[in-house]
This record gives sequence, structure tokens and C-alpha cells, in this order.
Amino acid sequence: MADKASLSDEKVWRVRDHLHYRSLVDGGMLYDEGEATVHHLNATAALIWEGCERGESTRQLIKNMCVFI
Amino acid sequence: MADCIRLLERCALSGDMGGLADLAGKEQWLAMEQGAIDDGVAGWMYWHCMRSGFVLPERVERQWQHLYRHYAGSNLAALCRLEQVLGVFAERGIDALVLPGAPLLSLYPDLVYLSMDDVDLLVRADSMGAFADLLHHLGYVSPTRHPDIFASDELVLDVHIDLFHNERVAARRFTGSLPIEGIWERRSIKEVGGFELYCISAEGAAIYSAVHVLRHSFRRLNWFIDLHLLFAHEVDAMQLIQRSECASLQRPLLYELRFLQGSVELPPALAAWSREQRIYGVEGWFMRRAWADRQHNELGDVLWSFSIGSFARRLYFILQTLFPRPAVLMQVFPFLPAPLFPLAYLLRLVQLLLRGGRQLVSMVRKH
Repeated sequence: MADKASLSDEKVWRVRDHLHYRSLVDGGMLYDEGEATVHHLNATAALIWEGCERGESTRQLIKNMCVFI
Repeated sequence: MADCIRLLERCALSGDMGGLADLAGKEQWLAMEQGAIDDGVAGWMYWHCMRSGFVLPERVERQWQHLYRHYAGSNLAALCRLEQVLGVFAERGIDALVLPGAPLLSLYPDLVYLSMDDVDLLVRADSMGAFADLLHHLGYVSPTRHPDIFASDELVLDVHIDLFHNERVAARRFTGSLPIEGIWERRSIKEVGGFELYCISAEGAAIYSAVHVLRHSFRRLNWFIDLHLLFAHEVDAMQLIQRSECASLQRPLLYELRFLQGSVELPPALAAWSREQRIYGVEGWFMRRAWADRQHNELGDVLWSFSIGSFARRLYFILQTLFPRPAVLMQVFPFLPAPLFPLAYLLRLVQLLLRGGRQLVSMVRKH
């Protein structure tokens, strides 16, 4: 789902077009249209994914996770 | 067991999981767990328990969570494929409306509605040929003797040219029908799980669903939840009553309103209309029997026949439903070579006798 560039605090991750995400009561799910597969995300993974969808930087994602934990 | 089913009905319809605290012991929880699965509401119950903080026994939580995720995942996959297919049709100028259940997903959180076995589409009779050609071109195949079903790995489409497949059982026209042109005129775009679909109106969806629930003998509770959510959030009560009466389809609606009234509060206009209607002796007996043994009875078509005024037509409807024309009956026995179709009627008779006997035994045991 992202560039292979090195991680930096300001890096912003982008979601690929063929991935459909929906939030669930205990996490989230991803449908990969190309592979025709569904992946379930736990609450932590869902939090990170939703941050990526909002265009948050790595720094912000880490901050969100610290608050969540 | 019966108490557990009644408790399940109350909890699932009201969304209040507090009553589950009354379950005592492993046996009652096992009945609740299996009842929710059989009734198609395991995912819905899991969602409510998670939201309300109700702690489920570990085994039940694991089972319901698995189904919750399975339903949501397979529904998302199906909607994604459906959008692609409908996009291809739109490009070719072929109209298609998505019939309930798929549009009912929009009433639920998290696409948690029971997995769709298939998606029902309504197409105009004169575009059925083009529709079938295009689907076959896209790799969909029709199972033997089911020319209106198209299946791929992730999506099964059941294509209608009228709402209730009257072409399969012609006598269904006596039970009432929604005029097809009105259905097309009232269509609208609806957002379903993040996808935009052309759907029938909310009132049309409620009437269609009411008939569907009746035809399947009230078997699954999730269909009642559909109706409850439709009545509560989308339907214009007066318009629903008026359209169901014009279409002579008010009795299926009435049975379901009466059922729901036992567990939830209905919109005032619908509750008042339901109270004004009368349900007579034999009809009422069939209705209560069907409710009492929802998951196993097959009284839906018998009860539906009470929508027909003439007694002779009622008998004809039941007869034709039990023994439809050869092309339809042969779908039930796909292994039977076409020239042996008279044998299908004999097999059907045996099938009905066995089912009737089983139900009789189960009724005697319960009493």
C-alpha cells in the first residue's frame, strides 16, 4: 500500500485504488479487488489504516496509536 | 428451547442485549448460539453485544464473531463485483434495478446483514436476452435448468422480469402484484455500503420483503429485522398502506406487523392500521402455527393463499405452488433426464408426504 521509500516522520502513506476498506465494530476489513481476498484487521491495525486513509503522516499515526493504547 | 427462541426474537428485534443475562447454564447458551445462527442474526447479535459491552461466553463470542466477519467480508466482495457488473450494463444502456435484500444492507451497521446467497435484479422483459448474453460473455454461467440464474465465483445473480417470478407459478398473480411500471418509475439511487445502486423505493422494498418473508414461512428472524428497520427509518407509512392495498398485498404486510408488534414499537400509523385489520379464524390459526414453529414450518404459501378471495382460485394457487409446471419442477430434481418429467411429479408427491409426516411428528412431540 505504500512507496518503498525509507520511513520518516513526515511520510504519508497512500491507499491503492483496488483496496476497499470498511470499519467494523471490533476492527476493520479490507477487500482486495485484484486478488479477490478479504483481510480482517484488528482494532490497532484498523486505527493505522484509517489514519492512512485520512492522509496522516507517520508521526501522526504513532501519536494516534499512543493515545489508543 | 422455545423460550430461548422467544428471547432471541426480543433481543434481536429491540437491539437490547440485557435479556441475555437471564440465560442460565451451558445448555441455554448453546440453544441461543445455534438459534442466532439458524435465524441469520449471529452477526447482528455480536455487533450489539460489542457495542453495548455485553460479555458473551467465550465459545459463543468466537462463533458469532466468525460469522460477523464472514458476513461482512462476503457482502463487501459481492457488492464490489455487483458494482462492476452494473457498470458494464449501464455502459450498454441496459437498465437493472437491485431488489432487496442487497439494498437493505444500507440499514445495517458494518454490512453485518446475513451473507447474500444471491443478488436479485429486476430487468425489463425485452432486455433479458441482451442481459443474459452479456453476463455469459463476462464469464457467468447458468446452472442446469435455471436460465435466470447467473453465477460466478463471487456473485450469483437471480434475474427477474417481475417481482415475484410469476412466470414460474402463474397462479401467483391471483395473490396481488405491484405494477411493474410503477416500480421502474419510483426507482432511486441508494448508497449501499459505499457503492451506489439503482434500487426500488422504500415502500416497494417493504412490500416485496413482506411477501418474501411470508413465502419463506417466516423462517428467519433477520428478515423481520429488515422490515423493522425499513418501517422505522425509510418507509412512509401512509404510502406503504396505500400501495399495499392497491396491489392487494396488504395481508403479508399485516402478518409481519402483527409479529413485530409483540417485540417492538411500530410507527403509530402502521400500528393503528394493523389494529384495525381483522384476521379470521383459520387464517389466524395458520399464522400463529407458522410463527410458533418459524424455523421449520412450510405454511407460508398456504397463508399467502388467504390473500385470494375466491376459494377455487385459492385451491388452484396451492396446487400450482406444490406442483408447478414441468420446467419449474424439474429444477427441483436436476438429476432427472428431461423426458422423464412425469416422474418428477411422483417424486414431488413423495417429498411432500415425507415433509408433512416429519412436521406432524414434530408437532405431536411438542404437544
